[in-house]
Amino acid sequence: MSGSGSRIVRLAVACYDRALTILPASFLSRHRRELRSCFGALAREARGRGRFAVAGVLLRSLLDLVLRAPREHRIARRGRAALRGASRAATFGSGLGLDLRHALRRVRRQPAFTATTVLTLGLAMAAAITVLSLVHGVVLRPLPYPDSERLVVVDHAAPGLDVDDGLGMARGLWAHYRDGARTLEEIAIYRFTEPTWTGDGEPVRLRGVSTTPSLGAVLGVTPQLGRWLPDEDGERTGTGAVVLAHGLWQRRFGGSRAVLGSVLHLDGRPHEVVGVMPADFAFPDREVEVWLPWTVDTATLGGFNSKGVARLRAGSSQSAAATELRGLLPSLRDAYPGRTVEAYLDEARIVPLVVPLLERMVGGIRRTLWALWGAAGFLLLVAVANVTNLFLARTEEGARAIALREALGASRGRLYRGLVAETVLLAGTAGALALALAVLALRALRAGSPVPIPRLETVGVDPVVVAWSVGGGGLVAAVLAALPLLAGRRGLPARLEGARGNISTHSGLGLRRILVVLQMAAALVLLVGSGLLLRTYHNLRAVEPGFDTRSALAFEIGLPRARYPHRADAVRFHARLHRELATLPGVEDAAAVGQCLPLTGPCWGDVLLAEGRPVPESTSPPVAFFRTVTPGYHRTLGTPILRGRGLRAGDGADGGLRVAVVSAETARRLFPGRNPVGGRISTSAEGPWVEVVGVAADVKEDTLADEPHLVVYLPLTEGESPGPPPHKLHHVLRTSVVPTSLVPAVRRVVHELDPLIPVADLQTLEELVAEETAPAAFVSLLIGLAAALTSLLGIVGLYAVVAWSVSRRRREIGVRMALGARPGDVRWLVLGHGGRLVASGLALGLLGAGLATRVLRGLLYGVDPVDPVTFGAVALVLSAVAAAALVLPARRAARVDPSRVLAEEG
Amino acid sequence: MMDMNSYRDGLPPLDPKCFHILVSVAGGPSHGYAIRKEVESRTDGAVRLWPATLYGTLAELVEGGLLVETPSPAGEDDDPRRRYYALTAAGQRALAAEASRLEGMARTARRRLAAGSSS
Repeated sequence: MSGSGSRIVRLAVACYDRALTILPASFLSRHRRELRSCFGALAREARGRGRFAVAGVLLRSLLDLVLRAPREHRIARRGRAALRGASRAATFGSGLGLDLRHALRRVRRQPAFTATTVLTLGLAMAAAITVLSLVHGVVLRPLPYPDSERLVVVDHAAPGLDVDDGLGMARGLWAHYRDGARTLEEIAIYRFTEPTWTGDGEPVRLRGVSTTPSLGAVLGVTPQLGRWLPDEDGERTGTGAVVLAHGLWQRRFGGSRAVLGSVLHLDGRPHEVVGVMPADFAFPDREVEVWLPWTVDTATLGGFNSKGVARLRAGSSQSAAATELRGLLPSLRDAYPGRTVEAYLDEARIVPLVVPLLERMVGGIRRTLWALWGAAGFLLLVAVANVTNLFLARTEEGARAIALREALGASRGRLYRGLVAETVLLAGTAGALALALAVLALRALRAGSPVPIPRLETVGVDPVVVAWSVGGGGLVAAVLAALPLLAGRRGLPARLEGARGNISTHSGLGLRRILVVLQMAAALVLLVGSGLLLRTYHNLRAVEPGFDTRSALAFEIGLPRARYPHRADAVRFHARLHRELATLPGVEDAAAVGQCLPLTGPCWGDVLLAEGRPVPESTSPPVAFFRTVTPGYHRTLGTPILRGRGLRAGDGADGGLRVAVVSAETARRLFPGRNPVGGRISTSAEGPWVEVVGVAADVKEDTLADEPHLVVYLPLTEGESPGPPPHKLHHVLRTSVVPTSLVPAVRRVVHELDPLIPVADLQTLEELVAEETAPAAFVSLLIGLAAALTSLLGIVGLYAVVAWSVSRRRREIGVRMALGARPGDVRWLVLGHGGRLVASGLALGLLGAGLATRVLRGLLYGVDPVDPVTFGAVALVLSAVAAAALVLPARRAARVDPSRVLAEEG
Repeated sequence: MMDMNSYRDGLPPLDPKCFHILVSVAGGPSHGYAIRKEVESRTDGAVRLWPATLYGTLAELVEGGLLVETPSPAGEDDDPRRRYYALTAAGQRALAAEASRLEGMARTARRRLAAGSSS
């Protein structure tokens, strides 16, 4: 009893003590101890009557406290009023409050200085917080899986095919590695799939992933609801399993638990919902809506058409895993004897790659983010330099006042506290502004980033970043506050004289000059960077994609295998759709292409041989992309036919492959120096051979920055043809009206042919190209903004220093003029003084830019990182603007009236 | 803030809490908790001074000049940090004035009661 009783008393006292803080501080500082000990005595007294008595005393005392508090506050206020004007021994705390109030008054008295400081620091800190939050949230933050550092991507390179990475996995390799690798705890393969969900209303194309159920164990994430995919797919029962993404579950099922056990018809086949993943599960990306089990047939090796992800065994390294997998390859011959394994091992010479999952996910964007980080860093540096400059200028004015107050007996600590209070107030306001702007900027980015940034949706203003910013800001504030005191280290009399002292006795000018030089240099580096990126953007815009982007609409139609089992069914459907679309009003021309549109990535590829041109023993045959197209495809896309003819109706009508059109690059590589039309090509030395009937201009296949690829265009036929079956085709319409105005008509036509088929990926070809140039546009816009701000700050800084120095040197100038110097001489004196600063800044900046722009190398296209034209133009523009900033103070200097200056002096 | 002159004239009446505290301290210097205990037992638990009211009122009385903080009486105190309060001359006058006022009211009441019962 007494043990628990004393605990209750302690608890009650703690509770009461916490509540005491509603009383005024002045009262508490005198009576807190008594209040607590009195309450403690009451509680101990009540303990004998049981714990309810203790609670009763607590409640009664709290009520008393609440009722009494207003009266104490009134008394405290009256007491302060009575004490105003009287001397009082100030504690540090209330002294600081006083300092802050004084600081607030000073800050209000100088609105221009305050606004400049707060805006300069605020904008720069906002940029820094935004970019640092992005860098931390995207690049540095671990993935949201347990022991995520053990997660790796298992990929392959094929030196024999000139493929450095990204070949992916074959299903046989999965089984082989799973059974053989000791360094891997678990391995999974998956591939993207786009099942059509038919149920109530419009059919919907879902974005899904087919995966071996081992993915659950690899990532180690448990579903929010139900379970992960079962190891055994329901082949026997006829019902498959499906796991839903959190977003789809919320959107389409209202987040109801009843979804478990319900059946979705995906591609015409029933799938039972077995689980729902948590909201932060986004593998491989945020777009995925469903995960379906992939029952892998490991009897054959299969093609490289899936991606691999694995969990390293604890203690195993990524390089150990790579070495082990490489060692497992030779035994693949015994596991899967035959031609395929020989092709992989001997011709393609595949090499396993083991890459950390995080690196693979964010590798692409990392360079961009670091470049932005550099820009934000420069901007912040220049902003701090500028604010320091402002403070230094004020220091001159302030130093005398400080000396005066010191002479009157104020302590240095007291003076410093006053300065700190002012800087803290300014930096704090700037920080709050920066935080608000950063939150807005990140929100805008999340709402629609023109650049695909992985994990962006989970990036917020990061507490770690904010802590750093606040800490950094505090440090800067302390240093800035110390400047006037440092400047005032000279003897007191000298400082009291200070305001009238001449240039040679002034400290701080050297520092201000250095700051201006650094600012000019930073501005130049950023301007060069943004210039290079701008040129990249223009170069990309100027690239001929190889097709006409104007007035063209593209979309994708995929047919479910369940209802269109044969090639012929699919081909007939697409041919009919093609005919119907071509007759729509506003459509000038229509075509369809299998696999993928230009600029949407490398598609299905295979080796390509020309008849009568054997591949030398030591080299591997080139790889070409194959596209099945409807007649008139090149005419519809606006790709010129350079030689021979395009594919036309009747080509391949008998179901056999007889003719093909090849790209110009194919003609150059396989038929050097001769006319390819009439020549024959094949994917195998044994044939069958196909006759080349035409050569089409090169088209950008993957990105605008691509080198031309080998491409073979084959007619869409009902017979066998290289590549996947023609169930998914992209239709392209060349229109005489605004392309998007045809969207309803397109949907209607498709719906009439088969109401269960969705129209996917509707976009104009202009949008397709814009997606390619958007990243360059985005990055150059951001770095351009940073460069513009930095330059503005740099120029303002330059102007301020020169103008200030002119005002300080009025006496010297007056003397010179009295001794016979003409206004022109004085003007040149000032221009020369500023010009030297500009020249040093530019020289340093050019040097810095030469080093810094290497970071941009991977982001540039068609322009060298040390492009002399960009460097020269930027330096020229910056010096012109700087010269303009110098003219005003130079003119003011030339107008100095010697007689007046000397009279003031007397 | 309290004005001691008003007590001399008996107006306005002293707050009952203040009265009880002054009565308690009139017996000799005392500390907060002891004052509370004394008031509680003297009024048979009818008047209980909870901590915030107790120390708030004590502070007001000190500020008004009716009480003064004194060093703890030698040998008596177990806790040297405790503040002891003693009546000032003004406090004695205020208490005397309040006592007279109450006496006067009590006399009036008794007179009227007696008159009422005789009629």
